[in-house]
Formats: sequence, C-alpha cells, structure tokens
Amino acid sequence: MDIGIVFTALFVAFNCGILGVFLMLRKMAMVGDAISHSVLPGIVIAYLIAGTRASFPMLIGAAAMGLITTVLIEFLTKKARLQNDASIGISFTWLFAIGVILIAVFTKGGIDLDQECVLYGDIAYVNLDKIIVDGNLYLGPRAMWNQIPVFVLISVVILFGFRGWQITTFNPDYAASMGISVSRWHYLLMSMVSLVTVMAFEAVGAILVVGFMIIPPATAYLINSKLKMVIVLTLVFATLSVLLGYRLAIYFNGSIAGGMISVAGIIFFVIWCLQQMVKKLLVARSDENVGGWLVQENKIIR
Amino acid sequence: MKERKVAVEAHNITVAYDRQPVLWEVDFEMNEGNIIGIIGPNGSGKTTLIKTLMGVITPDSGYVEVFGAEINRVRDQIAYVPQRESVDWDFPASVYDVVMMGRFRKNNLFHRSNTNDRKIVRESIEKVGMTPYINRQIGQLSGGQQQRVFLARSLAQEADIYFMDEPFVGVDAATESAILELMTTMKNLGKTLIIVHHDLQTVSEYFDEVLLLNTRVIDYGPVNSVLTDDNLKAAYGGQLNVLTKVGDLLKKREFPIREKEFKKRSKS
Ligand SMILES: Nc1ncnc2c1ncn2[C@@H]1O[C@H](COP(=O)(O)OP(=O)(O)O)[C@@H](O)[C@H]1O
Ligand SMILES: [Mg+2]
Repeated sequence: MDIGIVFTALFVAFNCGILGVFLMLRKMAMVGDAISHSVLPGIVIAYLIAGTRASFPMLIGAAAMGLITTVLIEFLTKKARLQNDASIGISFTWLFAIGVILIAVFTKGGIDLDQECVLYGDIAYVNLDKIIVDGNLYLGPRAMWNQIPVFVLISVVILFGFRGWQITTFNPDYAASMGISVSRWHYLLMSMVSLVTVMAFEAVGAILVVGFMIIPPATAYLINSKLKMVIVLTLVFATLSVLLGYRLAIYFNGSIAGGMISVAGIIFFVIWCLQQMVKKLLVARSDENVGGWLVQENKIIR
Repeated sequence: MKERKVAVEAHNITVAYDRQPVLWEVDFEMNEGNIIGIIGPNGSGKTTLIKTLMGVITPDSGYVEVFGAEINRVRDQIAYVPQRESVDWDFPASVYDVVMMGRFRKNNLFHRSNTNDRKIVRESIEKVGMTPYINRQIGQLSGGQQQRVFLARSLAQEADIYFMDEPFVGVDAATESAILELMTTMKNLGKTLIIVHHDLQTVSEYFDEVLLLNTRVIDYGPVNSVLTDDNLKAAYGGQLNVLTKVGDLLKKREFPIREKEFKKRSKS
C-alpha cells in the first residue's frame, strides 16, 4: 500500500466531506464543482502577474476567485432574483469562459499554461512532488502536507463555531433575529470551500474533490440522526471509500480516484437499500397494530 | 391600573423589494402586556413587517425602537417563532437540539451550554408537552408538534416580546388550544405577544388589539373598532369570497365560531 497516496486521499476526503455536510444542508452541494471551474481566470491572472507556475501565487489567485464566485452567486440570487442553481450555473460557466479566453489571448506568445495542467491533477502522481529533508528523510507527498494544516483549520473552525454553523444553516432568519451576522458565517464557509477545492484540485483532481464533497455527506444524511453524527459518519464513510477504493484500484490495476469514488457510490446504495428494508419492516408492523407508526415516503408520521 | 410602557414602535417605515413597496409609511406604537394580531391578506407584508421590527430586515426609510432603544441593544428581550414552512424539517437535529438554539446568543456561540441552559430547555419542552419526543428527529413530527418545538424554542429565549408568524397554520386542535393557553399564561406574566395571523374568523377570540395591514396600516386598535366593514373592504379589496364570510362574521361577532363549524353549518 502506498501510504503517501492513501493519506493524501484521506485528508482530502475529510476536508471535502466536513465542508460538504454544510454545503448539502444549505442546498449548495454543487458549489464545490462550480468553484473548481471558476477559479481558472484567477489562476491565469496570478500567473501573468507573478510570471511563474509556482503554486503559491496561483493558490492566492484561485482562492480570491473562489470568493468572487460566491459573491457573484449571492448577487444573482438576491438582487437578480434567480434560482440558486441558475445563479451557480451562470457564475461558473461565465468565469470559466473568461479564463479560457485569457489563456487563448496570452498563450499566443508561447506561454506554457493550460487548464488541464492547472486544474486537473491526478492522485496517482502525488508522489512526484515529495518533501524530503536532509537529502534522505522522506516525509511524504507535498499534497498531503498541504491538506493537513487545512484539516486542522477546518476542524477548529467547525468545532468551535459549531453552534453558529448549526443555527445559521437551519434557520438563518432566526439567527439574524438574535443579531448573529449570517452573511459573515456564510463567507467564512465559502472561503474554506474555496481553499480546499483549489488546493485539492491541483493535487488530486476533480472527481475526488467533488465526489467526496457530496457522496459521503449524502450517505451520512440518509441515516439522518444528529448533525454531529452526520459529520462523524461522513468521516467514517470517507475513510472506508479511500481504503476500499484503493484496494479495488490496485486489484483491477485501474484508476485510484475512480476506485475511491466508485466505492463511495456503492456504500451510498447499500445504505439506501438497508434503510428501505428497515422502513418496510416498520410499515409491516404498523399494519399489525393500528394507531402505531405510519411510514410515509421519507418521514415517519405519528 | 399601572402605567404601560411602549414595547415596540415603528416610525414611517418603508420597505421595498425591487423598488416595489411592500410596506409603506408604517407608523405605530404598541404597548406592552397585550396580545396583538397583525392581520392582512396574503402578500400584504405581515412577515416583512415583523422581520423589520426584529431588525432582520433593514427598512429603506424610517426606524424601529423596542422598549425605547435601538434593536441591537435589546436583542435578548425579543423572541421569534418563524413561519413553520420557512425551514427544512429534514435537517439533522432533535427536538432538544432545536430548542437549545433558543439559548444561543450572539456572544455565546463559541461556548458550550451550561446547566442553566439545559434546565431551561427541558422546562420549555415540558411546557409545550413535547417531553416524550425530546430526542426525536424533527422531520418525524407532525405539523402541530413542529409548531410546538418552535414555541418551546421561543420560550427558552426567556424574552419579553414574542413575535410569532402564523403559529396557527396547519396545526391540530390540541396544539391550537395549547398555543392559546400559553398565550394567556404569557400575557399574565406581562409579556407582549405580536402574532401574525390571517384567519379572520378567530381574530376576536385571540387578540386584544389588531393591526390591519395591506402595505399600509389600514387601522390599529382594539379588535371591535378595527374590524369594521369599511376597514375590511380597504384591506381585502374586492376579494368577494372573503367579504361575504366577513359579513357573516360581523353579524355573529358576539358568538365567534370556528371555520370548521362554519363550513358544516353552511352546508346543512
Ligand atoms: N425576499 C424577497 N424578495 C422579493 N420579494 C419578496 C421577498 N419576500 C417577500 N417578498 C414579497 O413581498 C410581499 C410581502 O410578502 P410577505 O411579507 O411575506 O407577506 P405576508 O407575510 O403578509 O404574506 C409579497 O408580494 C412577496 O412576494
Ligand atoms: Mg407571511
């Protein structure tokens, strides 16, 4: 087992999964996907200003563009009164198009930059960029060491601000009536989403980021107990997907990212089927005793 | 009788969405210790008005004062029961979790709940009769039970003014009488209740005063002086269906009847 790849994937999965829980509950599950595309002009501009393909300036450019995307989505939803999904669609396709044009205009002079190389990394190659100290002490891939501080940051922000996340996600108007600044919490979440998306995209590629942002949270949400449990279960399903997905990929000699997301999807369907069976049992029992529990669609109604 | 303070005052409030005014020069003072209904047809700006009173929406012009102070200085004295449909009840939270939100404050979000908070939360849940469901996920409750959860959460805020948005919509008879009982108890404790409502049939039963709203304030005062033919025509305009019902209602005002009985009677 390649420890470097597995641990990089684990931290990417944790970061994406935790934030994904809140995106899903705020009906913004596709925002990660949107941001991952709309950062392109930011990356190009950062490249033009800094003149290198070093990742730090690009990261800054991308993260800034991630925030601009969020602001644009908010603007279109609130001021232009578009549906939220339409606002997301407009924002990212438009910004992505600008990025493509920028590249076309500025690569005439032979600059080496295209969206493939900046946007779509592949987890199989994370070991190409290792951190080695003293010439021989191998500390693991750089992508992993990029994700770990982000993981610490997210954990601290989510843990300490837990009540804030809970109330501004469930009932923003109510939070506002207490004088809590709902938009400040919103932008804090979106900053973290931008950061994680951009960093992970560069290192491990699109499928892993978007997949881990949506599938493990959705699976945990099926079980639907308490918010803390949804987060814990998300971490559990993310871990299972990474470990089993890696095995699967090695066994079939296939794509690692593909294996991990396939397993995540399989876990989702297994859990869903189990849940349906439990519901059937409950219905059967309520038929026996009238006045007991009645199960309708997703809800159990007294 | 002791002198009454002004609880909520609005002066010249105008709110517009896309330049379309939803509230126009709304101006009133509400005294504390009353149960006040805000009545008006759908889309007349009732929800917008109470959100503006609580400082959730900033008015385009005019200002609001609560107990004579700017709203941000008296946030702890107001509680809010939002419209039930305004939230996603599939949110992963139990009854206890939601009621605990009533103990959150702007400056305690980074703390954990203390013993006092937990005690108040349990008591509030008990007051609305939801203790048997305390650990249940909120999506698995009936409409009436969900409304009680919101009520319990507002009780946990231990406020002086309660803003409630359509608390009687879609609730069962048991919940309705539970809410009414709570309203009486709270009034006796000197609390002020400002309740958005749109069922004209029950207005005179529930409220001491009503504010009749349709973008502008049509009238505000004791129930009997506000619910006149002219005022209701001004508020509900050409909604004939409503007007005939109201006509009947006015005739029978001394014997208020529920909508269900009303329908039954008109059929036979
Ligand atoms: N966020 C919003 N953006 C634009 N228009 C809105 C918004 N909220 C409410 N409105 C409009 O304002 C009017 C009043 O709404 P509301 O205060 O909810 O009325 P009520 O509660 O009396 O039914 C309606 O016409 C509604 O469509
Ligand atoms: Mg309303």
